[in-house]
Amino acid sequence: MERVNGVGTMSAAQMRPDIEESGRAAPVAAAPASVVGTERVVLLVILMVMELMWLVVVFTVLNTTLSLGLDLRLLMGLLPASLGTCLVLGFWRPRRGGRLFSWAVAAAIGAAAVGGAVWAGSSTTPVGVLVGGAILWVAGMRLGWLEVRFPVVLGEFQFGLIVLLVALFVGRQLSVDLPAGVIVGIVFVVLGLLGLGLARSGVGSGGLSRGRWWLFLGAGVLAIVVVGLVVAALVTPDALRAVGRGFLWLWRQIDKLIAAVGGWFPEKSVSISDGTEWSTPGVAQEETVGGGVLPESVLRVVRIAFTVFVIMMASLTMYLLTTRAVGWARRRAKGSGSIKVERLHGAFGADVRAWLSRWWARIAQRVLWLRRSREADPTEATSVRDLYRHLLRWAAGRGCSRDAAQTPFEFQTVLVECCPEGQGEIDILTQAYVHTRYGPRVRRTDDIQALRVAWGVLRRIKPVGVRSVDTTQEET
Amino acid sequence: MSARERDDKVRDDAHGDVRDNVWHKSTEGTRYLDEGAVEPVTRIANAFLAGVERVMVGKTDVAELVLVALLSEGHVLLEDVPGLGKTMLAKAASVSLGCRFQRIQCTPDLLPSDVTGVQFYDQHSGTFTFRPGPLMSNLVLVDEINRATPRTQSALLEAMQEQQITVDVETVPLPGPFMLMATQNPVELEGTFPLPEAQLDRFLFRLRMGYPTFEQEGEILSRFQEEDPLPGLSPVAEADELIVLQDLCRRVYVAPTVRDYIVALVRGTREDVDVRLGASPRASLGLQRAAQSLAAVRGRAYILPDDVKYVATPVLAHRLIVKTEARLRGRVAEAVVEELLSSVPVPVEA
Repeated sequence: MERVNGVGTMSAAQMRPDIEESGRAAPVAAAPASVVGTERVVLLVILMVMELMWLVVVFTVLNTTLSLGLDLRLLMGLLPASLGTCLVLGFWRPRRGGRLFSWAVAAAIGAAAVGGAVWAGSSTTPVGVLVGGAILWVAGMRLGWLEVRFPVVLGEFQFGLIVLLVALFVGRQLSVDLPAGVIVGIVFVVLGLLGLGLARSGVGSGGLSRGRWWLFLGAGVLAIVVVGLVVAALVTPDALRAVGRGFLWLWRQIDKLIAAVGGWFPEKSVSISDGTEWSTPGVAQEETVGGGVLPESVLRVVRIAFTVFVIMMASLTMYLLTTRAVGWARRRAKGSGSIKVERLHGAFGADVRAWLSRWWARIAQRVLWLRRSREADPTEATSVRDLYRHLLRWAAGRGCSRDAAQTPFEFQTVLVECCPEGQGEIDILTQAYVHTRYGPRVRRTDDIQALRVAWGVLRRIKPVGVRSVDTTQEET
Repeated sequence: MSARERDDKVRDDAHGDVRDNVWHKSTEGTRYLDEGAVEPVTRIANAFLAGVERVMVGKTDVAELVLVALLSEGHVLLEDVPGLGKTMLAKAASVSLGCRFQRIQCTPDLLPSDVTGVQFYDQHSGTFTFRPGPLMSNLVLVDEINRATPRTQSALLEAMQEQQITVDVETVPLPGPFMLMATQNPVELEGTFPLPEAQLDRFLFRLRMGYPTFEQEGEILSRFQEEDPLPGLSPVAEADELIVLQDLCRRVYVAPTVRDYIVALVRGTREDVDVRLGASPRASLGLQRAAQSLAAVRGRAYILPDDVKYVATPVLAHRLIVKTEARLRGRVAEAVVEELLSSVPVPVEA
């Protein structure tokens, strides 16, 4: 065993020699092996085609119901282009201006798409192409960042299957013409099973024929289909319209309330039109109510805020419900040996969490920067701890959150798996942090400057495995 | 002169300058060691482990914990099946550390006076003279301790806790450093007397050697084919030096947050629904001291939560009594500690 005498020079592996040498259980769960080489390329293509399929169905439904006039074939061509560009950018990561370059490439692809559409005489509006292109570009980036391994492929398959079924069901209820719906569904399932088998064999457990995970998966798919059939039998277009009328009635009550508040102001009464966009066809859209002197622009802002609030609450409710349901299922399946269980909302939830964490980290960073600029002379220890806080938020933004029971060195091991390029900087920051946090003395100013440089280098590194930790924790 | 007073005298005589030169005072008024002050501990630990590695194949982690126990003034219970090198480890440790070694083979007819010593009547001088037993050594291996009767086991209690023995009315201090390494076979329980909780609590660590891997076993055969490497070991320290190192390890800095973490872990064992008897405050003290010594062995003058986690299972597991129904479900004390380690929050920035 290699031993180090100096203070603060031990790496995480040296701190825990039991991880490598004695074979005793380490507190940090080891991440499943990623798939590499040709299999990785094949799996990426499979994932891309699966994503493309449910995107096509969703876009078709939206195109028909909202009359967007999108040229789907043109837009679908953007996903492979954006994925390919992201993969190339992933191999060649410019240290400076990488993000700017990435967005410049995205804009170039969007401009080319618009130009091509106009040149080909497409009916798609330039705005439609740009919006669709942006969505597909984000989808490509997400695929490019995925760490391809079994739990991720399983999550993508489950998530895509649900989106596909929901889109097909809604399309059927709204009488959208989807001639190849059944074929798309079958091809999607076949591709999903193929990808899962490939990913499973990649982690050394054999192909489709080995293990019992496919039993659980089959049961899950069957449950989704059965529940979908039951829902399809119960929910008719009339029922959908009834729900729409219910929402509309609720909206009118709020509108009347706002108008009544406006009516507290004297004399003038205004006519308020119902500007809701999610009403059901066949239902009266306009109603004039009495109101006060609040200008219509203010009322519109209030309406938008209320709509956002309702949507957020509905999303939160659905999220909590799915979490509870899946938690129950996981507890039921706990005694099932080697079966791996992925949360159904895992794929979507991880993306949303990562996105929100990134924004939260940015806002917190700005607030800290403002606060620090106001404080003339922060103590040195506070600065090192602040830097480590930045590191934690930065890691959380990349889907690599620290577990509360993890020590800094244990978290370093996990973090290096998420971001191997930043190994040196992560080690420098972690060593400095534990020295300050658990040691008796604060660091010198020149050390702090070196740490700031390390942090500056680290924050510019592009993430690799967005969901590496989240998916690891889903295993039972 | 008590054992503590004698040890203090040894320290002052041999290394009197160490105590005065290594202390610093922080702005908060806390005293702490200079970062380089633990260098002697690390140097001797490295030499010790290198020596033990020559004799024991693949047991560096166990040897490191034995050294940590010695530096923490604690005792070790080695629990494993015969033939895994428990005695060899104790002998190698005693030779490497320049300590006097004695072995006590426990049997049901072993008497307390066989281990502590006896007062006998000297016909020449016409007085009673004390003849010390095997406990009057630095490192004592008590083999198969659970084969001794409870009366003999109890005779070891005073030696373990107070580092002294009482024979008739005379109290005799044990030589420092003193460490007791006891072994017991967890499989063959017929004709044995399980150790009482009071005695288990006095062991700092319970360690398991474990079987060697395929490659390690091959290496053992190769290494022992021509000669026994044990006589080739040379001491890397003197017994007096170890007393100074013990004192040095006591002064390793413990941050208040890490101390709280230790308390939370130990209290967690008392609040677990499957545990009938949790760890005592003596376990908290043991956990802190073991973490301090481990930090010094690894070259740090302050402890980390990693140190606490590393020694938590050997320190806590043998002190817990898991309820019968939980044991039937397969939940053992080690699992309770491991679950605590993966659930109690570590003091890190939010």
